[in-house]
Amino acid sequence: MEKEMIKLNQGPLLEVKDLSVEFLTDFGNVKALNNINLQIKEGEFIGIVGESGSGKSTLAFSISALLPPNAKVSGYVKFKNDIITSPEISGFSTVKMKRSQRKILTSTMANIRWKGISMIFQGAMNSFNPVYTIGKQIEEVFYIHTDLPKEEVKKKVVDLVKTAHLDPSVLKSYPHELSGGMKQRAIIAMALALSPDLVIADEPTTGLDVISQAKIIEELKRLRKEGKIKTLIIISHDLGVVSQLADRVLVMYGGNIFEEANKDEILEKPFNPYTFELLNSYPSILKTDQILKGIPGNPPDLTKDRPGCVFAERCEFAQQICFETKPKLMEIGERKSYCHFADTIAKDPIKFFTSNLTAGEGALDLLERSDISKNKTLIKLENLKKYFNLRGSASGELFGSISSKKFVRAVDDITLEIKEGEILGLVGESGSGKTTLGRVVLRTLDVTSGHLYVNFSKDSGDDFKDIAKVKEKSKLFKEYRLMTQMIFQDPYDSLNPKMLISDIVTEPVRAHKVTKDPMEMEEMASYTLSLVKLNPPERYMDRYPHELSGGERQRVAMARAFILKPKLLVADEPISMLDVSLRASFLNLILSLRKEFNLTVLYITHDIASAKYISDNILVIYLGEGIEYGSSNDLINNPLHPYTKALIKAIPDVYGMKEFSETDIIGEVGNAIDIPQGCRFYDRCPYRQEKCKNEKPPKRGTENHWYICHFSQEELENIRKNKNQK
Amino acid sequence: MLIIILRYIFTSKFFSKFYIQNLPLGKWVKMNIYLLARKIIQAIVLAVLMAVIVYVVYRLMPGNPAELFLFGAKHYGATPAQMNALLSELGLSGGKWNLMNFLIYMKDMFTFNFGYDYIRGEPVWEIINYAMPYTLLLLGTALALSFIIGIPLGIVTSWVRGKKSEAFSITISLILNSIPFFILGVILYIYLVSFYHIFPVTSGFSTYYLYHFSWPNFEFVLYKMALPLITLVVIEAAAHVLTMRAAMVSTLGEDYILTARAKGVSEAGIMFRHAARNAMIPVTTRMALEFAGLTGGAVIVEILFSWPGIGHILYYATLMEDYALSEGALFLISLITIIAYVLIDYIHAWLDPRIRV
Amino acid sequence: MKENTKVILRYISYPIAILLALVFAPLPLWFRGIFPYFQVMPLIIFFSGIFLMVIGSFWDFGARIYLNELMEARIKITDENLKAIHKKELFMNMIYISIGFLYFLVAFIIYYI
Repeated sequence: MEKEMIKLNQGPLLEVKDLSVEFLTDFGNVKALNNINLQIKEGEFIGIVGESGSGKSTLAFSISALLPPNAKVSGYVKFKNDIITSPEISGFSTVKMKRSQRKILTSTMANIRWKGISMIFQGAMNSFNPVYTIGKQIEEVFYIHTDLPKEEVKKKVVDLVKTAHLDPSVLKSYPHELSGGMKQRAIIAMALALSPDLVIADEPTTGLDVISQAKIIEELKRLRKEGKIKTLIIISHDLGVVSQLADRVLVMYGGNIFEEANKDEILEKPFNPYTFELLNSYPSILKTDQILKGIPGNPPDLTKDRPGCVFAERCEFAQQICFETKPKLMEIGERKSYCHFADTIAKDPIKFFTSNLTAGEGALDLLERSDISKNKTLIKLENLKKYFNLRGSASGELFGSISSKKFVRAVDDITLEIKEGEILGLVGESGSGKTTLGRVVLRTLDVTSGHLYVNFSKDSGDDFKDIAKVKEKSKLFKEYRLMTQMIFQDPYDSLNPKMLISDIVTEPVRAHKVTKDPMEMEEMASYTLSLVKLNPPERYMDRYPHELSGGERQRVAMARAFILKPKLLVADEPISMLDVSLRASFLNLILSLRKEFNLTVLYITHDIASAKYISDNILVIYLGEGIEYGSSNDLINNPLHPYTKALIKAIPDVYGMKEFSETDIIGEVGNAIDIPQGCRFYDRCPYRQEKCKNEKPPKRGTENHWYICHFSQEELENIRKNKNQK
Repeated sequence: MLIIILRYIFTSKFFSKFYIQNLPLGKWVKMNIYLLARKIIQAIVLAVLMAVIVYVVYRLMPGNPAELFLFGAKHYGATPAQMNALLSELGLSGGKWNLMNFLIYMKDMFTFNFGYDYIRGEPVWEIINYAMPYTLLLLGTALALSFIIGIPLGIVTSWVRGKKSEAFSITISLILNSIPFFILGVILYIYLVSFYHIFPVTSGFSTYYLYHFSWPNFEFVLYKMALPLITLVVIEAAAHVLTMRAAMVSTLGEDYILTARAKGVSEAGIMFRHAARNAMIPVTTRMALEFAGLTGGAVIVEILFSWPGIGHILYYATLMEDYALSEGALFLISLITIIAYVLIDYIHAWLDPRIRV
Repeated sequence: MKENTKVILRYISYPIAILLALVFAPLPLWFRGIFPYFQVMPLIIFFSGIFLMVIGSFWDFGARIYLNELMEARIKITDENLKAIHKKELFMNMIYISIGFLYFLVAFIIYYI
């Protein structure tokens, strides 16, 4: 008790007071932060959630005193008893500082940096200098901040790396020799080198695949338990990641803190419209069929001056007052909310959020799944294979000591049926061959072997033709091209920046020579643009892609894909580059098009939650092989294959905590060249037995939900029990 | 010969002292022995190719020194037997495109037996031997100085990003880098020599001053070579400033620089330890290219300031259709360039751990 | 190993084919009397030999592409592997250089006929 009392008297570890940051750019002043107040006590784990442009990274930079010289600061940040960010010492004013002043500043900062506040960056990107070994870069921290002799530093570094569950041999390797997950662990080890008081983790898991992400989260939790991390600020766009680690969550939008509360409170009963709508945008594997609304509109332009609330333009609950005056951060008990109506919401949140709902009811039946099983089959894949020749295959034989194989088995032996009007989710980690499968189905890539039957009949009958080996100039192939379209991952790369939106949208019309009449084309374009909810279409027709936001661009891509009313749409990770609030509405767009036009969609993604939300059936792919197939609810609630089990367990979900343990899966994604002889998952499977190594596993389960494994569910359960006993 | 030179370089006391014996081999010799062997073979083959190109280019040129010679010989009443003897001595008896002539040529080239000068009758090797130290002195000093000046200036320029001094430095470098060697040389000559008489009219001096080092001798040499050196260094250093700055700016935007800053590395540490080492990688790839430019520039500058180096010889020998001398000079210049390429390759592999294929 | 030799033979076959073409293709012209075969061809073949040596010593025989593909497919490449590849490359270089000497030999034979 006494100790706690002392701690409380000491005051906060970190205090942010009235902090505003503006960046001076050529396009005007970007108001990145407005009047931020924040206090962090020792031992707290704080999460900061926000979309791009919310100012969360700027806040992290001000806390670690790393603001660039074009920043204009007011207010201050105080760490323990030192002011580390203030108008006098950071950003713009450092440019004009005298040398002697700067020296004093850097020496005080050097004491705080890494000793007091250390950072965990995105290790999957390049946070390590590529020309030095990992060991040297961790040692550098000790040489800067301590006077320890060389041998002792080396010993300490080895200890550090061991606490992060890494093999000491990584110390001698260069960053490019490590995988993303290993680099991230090394970054964590480096951040804990001087046992700092405060650790800031800026998007620590972005860019990693789901399983590495789960392992990193576990790691951080364990380090907290062991007392290695005392206080943590975790910043992420992913509420799932934040909710796994933080006690208290800050929600940021447009440079303001919109809500601050304990994690459970914020998830159960948000007191702010933005938080409410944001929570409604996250697809979750645990939520039962519930429509995601998303947030309409675009992220705010922070260079503009606005009299009212930043969120007012997009808020469903906005009143006149919201556009006219800025709200205040109201304190309601322990919680804070930045809204004019915070009091009203706090009294009865459910009433407020349901009574003021204005839009979105019409879409509620989107998720109603009509029974597709009665529909006719559109596409049948039979033992479809796509092997890529290693281009250096001749040299491969010459230099063959590394790999004796000549092919990349991108897609290996996939048999599948897609009904008309079905949305099929293809789920897999990067490198699993899911994109290749999508392209093979479109026949933009040639088929190596197997059959691709397509139903060409115009009415309810069946008219299957195998187009796996059909030549590109044939009539049948052209007909198939008209039936199919594709959307790509990156809305910034997939639209030609030098073309008008109307030209981009009508490109397929011109390519297939459907019509040459410009009036007709324009009509088609405007109709399609209104279909993808870019209203009014005239506003978009004569603009260029760079004038649109990411979400709008992806809609333009959708319009281009849909202008010829294709039967099959292949969507390759269409939402992974979009902000969270825009994702849900894009998914809803696909659903509504499906409902209206009986569109068939092949939805390729690494994000199981969104696949569950949108698709009827899901196929899980591992190294080119379909390992589990089932209706989306079935597959998520009752996964059968060990890989699917691990994958689903690894998703950091907003609603509910799952313990992910290292034994669920071993190692990292393998390669599609040197595949194991027997089961493809052998190298990573925790249930593996002797027979998995050399024998191909059979298909098990029912027609509607099958998986590929040597063992039935009971046998798997027994193996697990035996293992636990040992 | 090349093998001997290379072997000498790699096994010399200087080299082994710093790179092989005192430090663990694997750490410094980033290339393994097979790759090293490949690089050496490549250098040799390249030298052979250069000799072939020199041969072809000179045989394709119009005019025929034999005709020239024989014209004089006929004039003084030479017998056909004497004429044939002269032809075979010049290696032209079987025609320009004869295999045996070519082989003799190759043998002579690689044993540095370049024959006799057509005009004065001196051994070519001696003429080149006399001129070589001048060229090496000028080239080596210019290369070193342009690096010593250009690279730090580039780093400093990237440091003061967004200030007036940066714009000033970039503009000046751009202007200097786009001036051809001969224009800058002529301008310097007109102002510093003709108008103000600061520097000497011709840059030639005896090799005595090179081989007998003393302070006044050094000063004298410096005074003589100042103008050609300034011409070369100014333009080359400007190029280095520009490439180094561009490389530094892109490196400073990388994530690991932010990490280093958060770690508390001092500004100088960030600039020199973290950024400069990475920025040097693209600069060294361009270095090979710039070295070739420098060699070409050296030839022009030597002619301009009558610097008695190989470029000077090459120029006049080519004008006089003095095959033996100009072939020899050209071949030696290309040999120097090839050796420089090999060394640059090695430096590059040492700087960047990612390049090992 | 057998595959290996096959590939090496294939790589050898290209320059040999070019050599045969160089030797026999101009012969009809010589029979017609419009081409001084024995004066010019030796030097041309000799030059081709040198050119082949240049190509052979600078070409990596697809090693770079192969390594890139392996890296894209996430196969670990150790230093030992790299060393083996360089050794193989050196071996191929030497083979091409010796074929270059074969060119020289042919050039001499034609010269002395």
